[in-house]
Formats: sequence, C-alpha cells, structure tokens
Amino acid sequence: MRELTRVTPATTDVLRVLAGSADPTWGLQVVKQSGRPAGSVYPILDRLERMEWVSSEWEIDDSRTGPRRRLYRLTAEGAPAAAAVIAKSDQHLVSAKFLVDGAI
Amino acid sequence: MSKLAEWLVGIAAVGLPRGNRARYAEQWAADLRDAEQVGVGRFQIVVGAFGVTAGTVRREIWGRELRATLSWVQPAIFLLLLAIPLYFAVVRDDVLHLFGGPGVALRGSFGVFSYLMGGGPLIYLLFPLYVVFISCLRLYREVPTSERVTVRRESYLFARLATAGGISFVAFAFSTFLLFVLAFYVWPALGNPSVDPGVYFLTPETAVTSSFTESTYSQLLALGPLTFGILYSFWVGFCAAIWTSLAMAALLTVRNRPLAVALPFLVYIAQWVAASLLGNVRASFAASTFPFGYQQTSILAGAAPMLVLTAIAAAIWAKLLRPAHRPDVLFPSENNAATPAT
Repeated sequence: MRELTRVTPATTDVLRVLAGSADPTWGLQVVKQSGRPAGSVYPILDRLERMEWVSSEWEIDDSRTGPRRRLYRLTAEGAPAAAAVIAKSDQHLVSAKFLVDGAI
Repeated sequence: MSKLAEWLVGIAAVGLPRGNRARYAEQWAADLRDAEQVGVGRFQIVVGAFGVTAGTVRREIWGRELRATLSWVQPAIFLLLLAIPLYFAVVRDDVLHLFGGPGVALRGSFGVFSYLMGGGPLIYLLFPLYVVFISCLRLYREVPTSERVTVRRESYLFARLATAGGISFVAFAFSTFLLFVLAFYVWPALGNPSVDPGVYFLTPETAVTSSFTESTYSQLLALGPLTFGILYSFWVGFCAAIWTSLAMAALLTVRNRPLAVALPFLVYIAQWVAASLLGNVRASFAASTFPFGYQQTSILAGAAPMLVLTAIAAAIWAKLLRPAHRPDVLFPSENNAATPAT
C-alpha cells in the first residue's frame, strides 16, 4: 500500500463511507452517502484503488441482468490507515469547533 | 440523456489503458442504469467518468512521458528561438543604437513584432527543423530499439504524440508570446527605439490603425493587442504541433531515420519553393505561419494552407492508430504474419 500524498476533505468523506460499512459498497452508493459529486468521488476511488487502500469487485446478483455494479471495500492495510485519516480529520474538526466556540 | 450519457461514458472509457476499459465501461454503464435508484444525476456520472480518464491521461503524459522526454535540448532550442531574433535586432541591425550600426525604421509596435518574428531566414525557413529537434528526439532514439518497447501500442503512440505535440505547442506559443510582450510592452517602456512612423508618413496614432491591415492575422489587432498576441501565439504553437505530428508519423513509417526527421523540413521548403514559383507565396506553409511582409488576406485564406496540412496529418494519424495499420518501423514483430501476436 502506498502513502496518500494528498488527503482532501472529499477523500476523507469517501474513506468515512467505506469505513462505516462492513460490506463492500457500490460506487454510486459512496457518491450518495458521502454527499460529494461523482465528479469527485470516481477519481478518488480510482486513486485509492491504485494506492491499494481500496479493492473492488463485481457485485454478484443473479436477479439483475446487464452491466454489473462495482463494489468497493477498504483493504486490510487500508482500513487502519483510513481510520487514522478519519481520526485526524475529526480532531481538526474538534479543534476548529473549539476555536469557534472559544471565540464566541 | 440516457443514450447520450452512455455514449459519453463509452468515450471516456476509450481514453483509459486497455486493461481497464472494459471494467470501467461496464461499471459506469451499471451506474447510469441505476442512477435514479439513488437519486444521482447521470450528468454527474459522466463528469466522474471523464475525471477518472483525465487523471489517467495526466499521470501517463505529464507524470511519465514528460519527465522522460524533457532534457537540455528543449530549453536550448527555446533560448535559440529567442536569441536569433534578438541577435538580428540588437547586433546586426542595432535597433537599440548600442553599436552605431545601420539601424532600421519600424512603423510601430506591430512593426517591431513583425521584425522580431521575421528573425531573418533562420526562423522563417528552418521552422520545422526546430520543431523536430524540440519534440522528436526521444522517438528518434527509441525507434531502432523498438523491441524494448513493451507498453501497449495505441497508448504508446498517443502518449508520445500528445507529449511531443504539447512540448512543441508550448515552446513555440510561449516564445512567440514573449516576443509579442517585448514588442508591445517592453519596447514602449524602452522609449520605442528605432520606431519611426514618420518615415512611412504616419503618426504614432495612424501607425496603430494602419497595422490592422499590415499583414494577415493583424486584423486581430482591432480586438486589442493582447487578443492578437494570445491568438497568434496559439496559432504558431498549433502549427508547430502539426509539424511535430508529421515528423513523428514519418519516424514511424520511414525506415531511414535522418530522412524521416528531415521530411517535414523538405516538404516545407519544397512547398514554399513551389508556391513562390507559382507566384503565390502566401499559399505556402511558411507564410501561413509567418505572414509578415506579405499582403494581407482574410484570416481563413491565410490559415488555409496549414489547415489543409492539419487535415492531412489527422488522416495519417487516424491510419497509424488503427490496429490494422501498425507502423512497420516500431512494431516489426507484430506485423510479421509468421509471428503470432502477443
């Protein structure tokens, strides 16, 4: 697994969605749950997969015909790394909130 | 919208490496089909698909290709492109009155620009040679060692073409723009040395309006000097990229490498001689790129020779990139019927 050189808020949101689900998550569901546009989420998923934070597989659903959905999940190494990124982001949020509340 | 979106994500998938195309084409098709279920717009999916493709192309071209292509040669030629006109201006004609030379009388800012762009015959006549040296040296070196090329063919050719064309475009557009800035902004700040519109029975004001009709493309000056500078710089860069594409096509199809890289220059000169002999030098590729000193025509008529050449280059590359027409020079084993394709 390679290090992410750039972690944007959108990346954190995508990681948060994937970390919040025990099962593999459909790419479009990540778009929906992260609240980020597909224009951001698709390239992020692509990058996370290249960096081996995330792996993907085809959905197995015999009830649905035609093209298959692609499901994403954090890799064994990606899961703790994602948790660390999310924790760091949350810490920043708490600090920011503290500063704002303090100012008030 | 549904069909259009499917068509667009199909286009986006084509831009990906071959190994990923089928996967993403199917994935995006499924997303488009089920987009309504999760309330995500199809347009978003199209944007996302092109985002993935753009990222891939950027990595392949800017990350890998550009780093492998750039060397001391490009900056050296870029500096030469600037040094030649400055040498003619400052040393030969002493336009800055530094050496007591003969000097010249220039009409105005456009006159200065025309003079610098003329740069003697060293730029006007040798243009395709500079283009080849600035953009095609890497492919020139790689052609005889093609067995080491293990990347997929279309990607390889497209990446080389995009990188070399991009380098040409940037180098020539930027050098042209620098000369434009020098003529239109730096020169007045220096007190407009050698600018003497009175010699042409003009005032500084009428020199500006007369420049609108001085040569082809100078009509654009009526839209403002900066508009002219940007558009004309882009045009020179575009012409350079076209010559790059032709030189690369020649390298891929002609076995004699020196001849291949010389071909664009030979075509350029032969067509210029032919146009001159036919009494219409303005129809030459040279005048289409550097129209200074020739009577003004419409922009379309001036650009026509290079636009025709663009169409020819596009047709050649369309054929080269078709799997059925693999360049013999670069992929000899793949064209050998006795050798199974790998």
